[in-house]
Amino acid sequence: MNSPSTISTATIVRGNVSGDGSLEILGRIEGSVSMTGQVIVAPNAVVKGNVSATEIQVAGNVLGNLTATDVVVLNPGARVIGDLLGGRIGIAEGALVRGLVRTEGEPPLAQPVPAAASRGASPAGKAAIPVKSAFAAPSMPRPAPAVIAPRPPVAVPAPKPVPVPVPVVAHAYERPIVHDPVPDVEVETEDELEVDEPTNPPPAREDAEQEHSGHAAPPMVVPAIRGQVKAKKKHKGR
Amino acid sequence: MAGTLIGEELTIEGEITSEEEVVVQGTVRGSLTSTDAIQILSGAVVEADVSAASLSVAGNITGNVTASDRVDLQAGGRLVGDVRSARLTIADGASFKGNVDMDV
Repeated sequence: MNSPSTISTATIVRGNVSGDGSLEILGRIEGSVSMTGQVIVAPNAVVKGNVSATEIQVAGNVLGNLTATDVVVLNPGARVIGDLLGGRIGIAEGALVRGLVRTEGEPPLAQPVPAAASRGASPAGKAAIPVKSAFAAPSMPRPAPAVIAPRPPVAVPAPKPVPVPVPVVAHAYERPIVHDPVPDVEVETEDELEVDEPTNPPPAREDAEQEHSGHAAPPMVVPAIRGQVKAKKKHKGR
Repeated sequence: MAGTLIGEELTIEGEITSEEEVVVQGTVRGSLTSTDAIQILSGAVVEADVSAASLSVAGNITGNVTASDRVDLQAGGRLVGDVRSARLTIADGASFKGNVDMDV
């Protein structure tokens, strides 16, 4: 069989790594990693880029999204800033995560279950952060700056949900300032009504009556609308 | 072996720098640099400039090669590019096209 590829501790790769089989990363990769097999990020290894594989085992540092078709496992000592996406996700105590955690695939039960599982998993990872970072701070002096610098890109997804809220949600949370869109909509509807009313009514009514007398086919529910539309066409045609 | 191994099915596009031995069985495009030895095994495809302390080539290299110590082009190996090294051996059965600069 093919021997597993290895990026050793004293090796730096700047670029994209892809292939079949497994890859063990002991050193540093700045770029995306895409494998069909297993990817192992060893302790003290650094990956700055997205990682996708069948199985991802992390005990080192990853700045990027982890996407696995099978399983993502964060072992103790792992530091991940990025989203976790996989059929299964494991986060051991002592692993640090900042990002979205989501399981996908075909859940054996209803959809709410995986959602609840991911919700349960992410707070657990977050809860571990303050405790572990407080006690393990001396043992991780080097990764710290690397983690701090890239925070902005990762922080982006988090604040999104806050400013994004839809007007409807804003109403629920009692923010009167956001009501602006509502009056705008009303104004637009008024304008449309004003424009339509003077131009259409006279021909619409005449043609509608003619159509009803001639065909009598159109149902009574929508006659006004259909009459108007057809009336416009006929009027333009004439 | 503690060095870096780029397996048969692996493709790296970019820049590789190492301070340990690098063994290439797969594909590398870009540049490949090591302060230690580099082995390009049979079946490997390297489209990159290669720089190492010593280099042995049994696979395919397209690119310029620099070695502070030596370059060994083995039987079955194929090298298209210039070689800059103090020592160079080309085995019977190897293919080579390029200039040689031995710092004479």
